[in-house]
Amino acid sequence: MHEKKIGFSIELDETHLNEIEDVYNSNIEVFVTLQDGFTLTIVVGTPKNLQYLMEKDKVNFYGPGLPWIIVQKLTKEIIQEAIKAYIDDKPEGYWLKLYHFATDIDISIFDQLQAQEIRESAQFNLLIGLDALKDKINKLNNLDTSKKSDLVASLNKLYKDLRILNEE
Amino acid sequence: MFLLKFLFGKSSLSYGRAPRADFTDRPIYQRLVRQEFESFDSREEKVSQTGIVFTKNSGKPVFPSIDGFSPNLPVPKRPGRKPYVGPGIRPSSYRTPPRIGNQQHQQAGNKLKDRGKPGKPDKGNTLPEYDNSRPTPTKKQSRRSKTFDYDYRSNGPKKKKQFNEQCELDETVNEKKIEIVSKINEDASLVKAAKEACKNTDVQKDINHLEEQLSLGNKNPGMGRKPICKGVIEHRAKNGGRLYVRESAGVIEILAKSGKKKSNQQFVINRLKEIYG
Repeated sequence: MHEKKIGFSIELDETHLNEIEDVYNSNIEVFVTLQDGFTLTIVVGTPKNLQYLMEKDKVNFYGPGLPWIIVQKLTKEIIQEAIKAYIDDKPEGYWLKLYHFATDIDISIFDQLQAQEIRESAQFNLLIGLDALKDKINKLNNLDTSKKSDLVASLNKLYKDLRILNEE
Repeated sequence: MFLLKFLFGKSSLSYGRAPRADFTDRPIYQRLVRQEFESFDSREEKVSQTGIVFTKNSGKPVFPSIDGFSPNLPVPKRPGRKPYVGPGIRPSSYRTPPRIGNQQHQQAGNKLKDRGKPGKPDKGNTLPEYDNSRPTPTKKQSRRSKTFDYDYRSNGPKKKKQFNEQCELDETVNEKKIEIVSKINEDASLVKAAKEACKNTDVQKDINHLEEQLSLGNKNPGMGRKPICKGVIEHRAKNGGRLYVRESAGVIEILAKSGKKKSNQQFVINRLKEIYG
């Protein structure tokens, strides 16, 4: 089978698909060729098959591995429909690339993403802290010298931290 | 004299062979005889269904001769097997059923068919049917029950492994691994493809897992399998590893390895089709 659709085409072993005994309990490999000509390998399977595989291996969970596209039933129409939905959801075949490259993604990519998330989280906390200080200052009508110096010190510290983060 | 007359008189009515009393389990037999004797009514004598003549005067049973002259005794249809003749005394040649009231035999008693009353032992006087399952042994077993168990087991069909644990063990333990041989080296291009695929450590790990499971006799070790060509099967694992095998005379031949990348995988499949048809 080789069907051309807008932006992608899928290819699968139709003989194997027709020989599947239970279309509600199986999985199949599908090759998806993107517009740029690159081919991704995607596993499409059914929930019942996941259950079957866990029972077969006598385990309580399905172990780590390449993610699947889960469908109710293994027919070429449903497979086509599912792949199209995954392509349409995010541009440039993001989900399918993720499913294809899941085991190949270098851990440093995650480290970068993790560091970025930590930074963003810290910046957010600083902004919240600065806003809280501003509110406190506005509520105080008569400030004595000692309190004023404390507040200034706190603000300076926060601004300093924020400056460091921005430099990174 | 009266006894002899009685015996001979009755013999004219019944000329069939009386079932022979088997005294191999003598204490039980004597107990049963005593029960029957004590249930006598006003009659002075009684011929039991086992063919024994009881006289109330002497208080001792008189056993008939081997030829037997007991009246109205059923004729065995098959030689060597003695039929059960009624609800009273059972010929001792039969297996003795477990005593329902006895605590040690309760489990065995539960095995007796008590249809319609699950969980309750049969308190009726009918002959219990046997279940060939072995009663669960209890810690406090009397000598009598041990003897019974032994006899019961020896009489029943000989099953070597009756305990659940033994069956489980038998099913799960593989005595020896299946032989696996690699034939990848027979084709240089397949070697290259395998090397290329196994650069990815996940693929290598997958393939190792598939090989190990196949050697343990698991026919479907991955997440799927499909035939490629004559007798050649592709096994797929979770992280993209593919193993191509063929079984020949109980030996699993590893023909090729690949990853999930289409170029690599398709090349291997095409090559296998060329070589193995």
